Amino acid sequence: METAMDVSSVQRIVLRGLGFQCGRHYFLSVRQPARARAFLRSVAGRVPSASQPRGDTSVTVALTYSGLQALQLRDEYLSAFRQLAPAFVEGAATRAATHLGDTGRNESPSWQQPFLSSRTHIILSVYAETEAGCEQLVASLRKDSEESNSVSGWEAPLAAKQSGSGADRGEPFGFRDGISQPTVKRVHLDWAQRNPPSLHAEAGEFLLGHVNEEGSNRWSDDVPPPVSEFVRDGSFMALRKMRQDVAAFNELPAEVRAKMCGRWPNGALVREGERVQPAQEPTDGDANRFDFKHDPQGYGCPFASHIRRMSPRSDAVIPPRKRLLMRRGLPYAEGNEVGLLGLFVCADLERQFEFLLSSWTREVPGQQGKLVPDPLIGARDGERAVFPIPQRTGDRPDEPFGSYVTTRGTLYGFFPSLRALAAIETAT
Amino acid sequence: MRDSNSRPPDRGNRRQLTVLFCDVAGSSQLLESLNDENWSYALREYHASCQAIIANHDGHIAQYLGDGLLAYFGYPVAHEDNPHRAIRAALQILSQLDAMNARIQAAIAPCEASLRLRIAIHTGVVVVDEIGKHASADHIALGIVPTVAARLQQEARENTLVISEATHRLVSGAFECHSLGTFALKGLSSPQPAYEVIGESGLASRFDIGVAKGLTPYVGRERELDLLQSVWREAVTASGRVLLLDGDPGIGKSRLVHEFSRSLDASEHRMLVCRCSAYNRNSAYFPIIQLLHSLLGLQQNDPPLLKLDRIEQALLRAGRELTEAVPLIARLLSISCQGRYPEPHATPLQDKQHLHDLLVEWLRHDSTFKPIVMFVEDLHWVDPSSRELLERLSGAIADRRILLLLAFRSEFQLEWQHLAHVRRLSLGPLTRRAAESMVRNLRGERVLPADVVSRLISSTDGVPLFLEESTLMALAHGDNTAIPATLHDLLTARLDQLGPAKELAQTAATIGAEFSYEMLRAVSRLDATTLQSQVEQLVAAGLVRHDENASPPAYSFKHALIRDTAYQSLLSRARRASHQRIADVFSDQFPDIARNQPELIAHHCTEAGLTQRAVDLWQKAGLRSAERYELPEATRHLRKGLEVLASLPASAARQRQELELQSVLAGRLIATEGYGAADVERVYTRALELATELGDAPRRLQMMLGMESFHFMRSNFQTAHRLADACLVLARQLGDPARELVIHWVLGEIFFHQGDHALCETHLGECMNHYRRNFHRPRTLQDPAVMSWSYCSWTHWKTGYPDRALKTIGQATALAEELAHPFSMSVAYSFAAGLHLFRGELERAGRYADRAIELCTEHGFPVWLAFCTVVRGSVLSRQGVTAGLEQMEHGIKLWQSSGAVVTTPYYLVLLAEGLSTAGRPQDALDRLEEAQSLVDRTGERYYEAEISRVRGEILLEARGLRAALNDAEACFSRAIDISQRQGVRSLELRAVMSLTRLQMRSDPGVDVRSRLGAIYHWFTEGMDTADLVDARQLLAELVW
Repeated sequence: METAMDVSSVQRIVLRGLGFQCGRHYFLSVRQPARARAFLRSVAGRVPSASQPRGDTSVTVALTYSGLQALQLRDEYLSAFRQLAPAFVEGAATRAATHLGDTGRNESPSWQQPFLSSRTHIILSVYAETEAGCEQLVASLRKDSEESNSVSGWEAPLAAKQSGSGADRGEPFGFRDGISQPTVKRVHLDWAQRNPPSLHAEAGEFLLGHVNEEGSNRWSDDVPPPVSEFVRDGSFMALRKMRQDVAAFNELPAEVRAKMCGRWPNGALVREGERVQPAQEPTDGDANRFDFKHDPQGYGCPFASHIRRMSPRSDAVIPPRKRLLMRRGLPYAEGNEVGLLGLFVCADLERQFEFLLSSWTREVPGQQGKLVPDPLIGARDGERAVFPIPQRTGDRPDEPFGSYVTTRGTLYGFFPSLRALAAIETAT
Repeated sequence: MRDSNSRPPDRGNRRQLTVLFCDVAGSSQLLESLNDENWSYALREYHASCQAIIANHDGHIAQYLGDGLLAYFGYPVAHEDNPHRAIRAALQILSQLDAMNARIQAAIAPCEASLRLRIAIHTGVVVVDEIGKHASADHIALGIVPTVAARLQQEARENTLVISEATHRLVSGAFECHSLGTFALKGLSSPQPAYEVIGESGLASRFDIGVAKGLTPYVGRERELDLLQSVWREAVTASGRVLLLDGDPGIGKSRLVHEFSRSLDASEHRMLVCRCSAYNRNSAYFPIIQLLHSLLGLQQNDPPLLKLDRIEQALLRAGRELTEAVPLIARLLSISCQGRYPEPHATPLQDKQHLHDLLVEWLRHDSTFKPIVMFVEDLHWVDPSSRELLERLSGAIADRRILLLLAFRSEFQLEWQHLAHVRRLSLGPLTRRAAESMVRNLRGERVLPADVVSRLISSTDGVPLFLEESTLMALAHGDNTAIPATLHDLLTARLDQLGPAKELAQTAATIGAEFSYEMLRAVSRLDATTLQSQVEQLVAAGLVRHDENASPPAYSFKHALIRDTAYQSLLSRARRASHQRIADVFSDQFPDIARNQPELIAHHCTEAGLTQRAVDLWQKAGLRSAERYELPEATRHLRKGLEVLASLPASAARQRQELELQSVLAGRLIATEGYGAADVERVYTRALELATELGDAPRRLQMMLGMESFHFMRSNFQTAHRLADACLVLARQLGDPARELVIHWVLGEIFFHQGDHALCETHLGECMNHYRRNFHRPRTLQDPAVMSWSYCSWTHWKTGYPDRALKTIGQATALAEELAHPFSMSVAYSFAAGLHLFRGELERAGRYADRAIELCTEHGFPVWLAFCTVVRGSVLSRQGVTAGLEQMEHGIKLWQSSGAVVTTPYYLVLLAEGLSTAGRPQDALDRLEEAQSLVDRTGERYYEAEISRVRGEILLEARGLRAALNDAEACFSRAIDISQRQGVRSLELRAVMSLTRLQMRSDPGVDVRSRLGAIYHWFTEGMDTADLVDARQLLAELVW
């Protein structure tokens, strides 16, 4: 059964790309629950909805489970989360080793503090074209909260910043990023110009309280009405900070790097026989409207490549499967360290985000049991691996590769609908 | 080391030799009266009997010359007392003559013939030119020496012994002799004096000729001896004394005490000797255990029940309560109580306190019968536990007739010299004059050229031992012998003279400074007879001392330098082999050592290069010491283990073992080194690294918590915070709810100190709400719920709920008492004291502080002792007792000496208040400034508002209203500002009252009532606490 969708109540970030140069994430603690709720109500007015056009700046609000507790939501609400969203309740740090593949140098006890702290209650993110814009945006919010002693923790935000602009936008390894984004049925009516059908999905894949690709709607069917009303049009998010060792990655030959990604740095799909990047840069649409039906051997885009496992399309070999994520990340640079502050949005952290991280980054699709970490995002501990590159003239010798990504932290949050945020008092 | 290697390289050496010549008087007549066969029998009997006696005295029969025989003393085996030995052998031959004759007569009866003997002895220098590897008299160029003896012999009366002048000079005093005048001897130009020996001199005490052979007349220490005696008189007549006797090795510390002891009337004092040893410096209570063994007359092989009986008897005599005392002593001596007594159930730390109490009281009790000299020798090698005990003892004898005599090397540092009854005596080198007199005494009638004497004195730096040894050597080698440059050479030479027994000396030295006969027997592989004679040889040579009264080890090297020399003379391969053998023998045949001194075997394994075994044993020793709360020993063993471990090849097993060692070490280090030690952090870091590498999550969590605690106490809140957060994640991953609780408390504690009461309460609440009784771990220090309730009570008071605070602290004390957990009780009482102080209830605060102090003292919780001492001091100072100030200062010092930084600002505010009351405003302001700079540096903000408020009050008091008005007003406003920001209503109330009073005085027109009223009326409880009562009165004054 289709549910009514109130796009105007969905935080804009969930359904629309952001497209800002700068972003900042603040990890706030509730000091006085009532005042903190008042603070959230006031912030709700500044969070743009998915029905609004893009403005000069943007704000988003996510809550952690300990945040819901600290805000003193009634147990009826909390228990619904305990029942339906165990990952969100337990937190990423607790599940890192078992559900995210974060072991060894990636393990959660060595993550940065905001990702560990049980006092991270609210993740307030601001976006603008410049850092000054972010600063300005946050100044008044911060002042209010400090005066009212409602929330604290403004001292140590994590900042992200796009390095280039326009077509030069990329992530630190040099690939054009954000090309492939899923589209949502009944929302993105122009989806066919942007995506193959495999990347077009039911709203329930991203929004709670709606039917998903499996036809179920547990947040509506399995929870009491006030709770389902509270969670409807909300989403879960995972904020994952990944350090990238660019120098080490660049030691690989350009052709191998492209094979590992599945694309050339300019976004063009890697095709059979190509040894260098095609001169013609594809448009976003061109770069996305393809499938793997014509590459059954992986002679062009290897099965183990990043894109062939992370956003599966119609494929001659690999059975169809949809575990889609909205990707809203930005690169970051802190001193000499660079990487990605990835922000992933979905309706089911276990089935979508965690499954991708624990399973798809490890296994080569369609090649039962063959374990090769995803070289681009597969954080792993030290050991070297080999990357299989199939070739028509006999397989190319497996390319040994190191580990180029280190997890610095992951945090799960809940993006409430603006409606719920404004009416948060009713949940207490 | 069983073959030629051990032969002394004495080719071509000159050495002094004593020869004995023995002949049968009137042999031709005797031959006539006996037939050939009987004569031959008699001769064999006579030779055999002489042979046995001479061998017993380490003489060597060089030749049988018909019915005469020639024996050497001093070659091939040398002794310092060769002439004595020769004489004793001769006297014994003569004394056994009758018995021998009786045997002969019985065998060849009927016969009345009897052998009559004449014996002569002479000493002179011979040249030894040994070429072959077997010692043989053939290689001696004898020169005239045997001839002189043979000639002298002819002058002797039948059945007597005659000695030459040279021999007589060497034995003067030891034997009773009478002069026979002079004789012209063939080959010698001048007539030679000769003496007939009558027997051992009555003057020769056992000491002189036995135990400490070669003790020379005591010279040059008259002043020191006087001082020692006068300190003793003080100890007996006035009050107990500690005498610290220090000096370089060989300077004569032991000798001085020996002389002192000889000067005392044995019936009027009791001498107890504790000897520390380099080998056992890591064995807890080693000298004390030795002393007890000897006092109680315990033998190693006594059955445990017998040992227990002896302990009981001794303790009964000492008037001790047996049920408490026996298990402690038995445990110290590693004797099982055989179920006769309950095992002590106190914590190791308490046991240790009780043991020290017991031993100290025992000694004090015994001193009422007879004054006691307790002599601790070689204190520089004392193990840490004995040291602690002695320190305790030194403070407890002032009212007893006890002289605690502590002898140690000058470089050793003692920190407890400030006590009134401690005296110090430093032994320096002998004066030149005393040195000369010493050489003279040693030389006797013998001649040493002046330049030799002069060289002797200058080369030995006035150290008596060196001088004595060098002089004797010079005498033994004749005047041509160069003086050895160092004592080491000299001692090496002396060892060489031991012959085969040198190897035994080396073995003994490898065992250690002390060793028992049983150990030597087990290790040396010698047959009983050989061993016996070699041991005696070592004793006779004056290298080793035999203490008949001690339980094993009954032998010790006379001086550490001798042991070192013997030990170092071993080649490293042989040394390793010897250590290995000792380790094996100790493990297999000495279960007591294996059980009670694993560190000893660990040492031998280490030296033997048995690395893995050594590491295991060091670990065992470390754990054993840790369990017995012998923390300094524990850390030493563990460190040693780590050191040895590092030489093993890298492997996962090595890492695991290192982790074990590091984590035990980490736990002990805070106690022994304090929080300030960089080592603590280093060890934790390493342990953490290892636990992480090995994927040992529980151990890792444990180390992270330890590390957190370290940083917290150092006020490194950021780091502590980061660690605590990571701990929480780990504990959740491990599914360890008890640990999770602890971490919530830990986080609460951090926020408490940062002045964030909301988050503090959140975490403490998490801890308190999920606490279960079975989370309590009696062996760990803190109980999380007691800690949480305690901190929470202060938070409640500060945030404006004085009565709720009282209820909360009540929960803390009730739980602590219910758990009967002394640490928790100490903490809860300390917080209760602090809370009552906040509430202005001084008497109750004092009572709680007293209880806390009592508990902390009894159980040894130094950190909390510091805390409650400061609170107690503040209470006293508020009650007008001036000693309160001193107590606070003492408490703060105690706290800081542990390396702890946290909480110091709070203490400093209390101290400043006390100083101000005592009329020392500038000191008070200085303390506040110190407090503020700490706050700025560390971010410890929970008492920050009070720093400003108290500062304002002191400024007003010190400078007067007019001068201080602006500053004080700023201080109070700041205090209000801080307390409002932190939401600490009780401190805000104080600050508002301060400001109100100031404004009442300075500007009566201003409306101050509404602000005070607003904060006062905010309160809903605690209306009878001091601050609120004051506020009410103040408001009343403002009514019109």
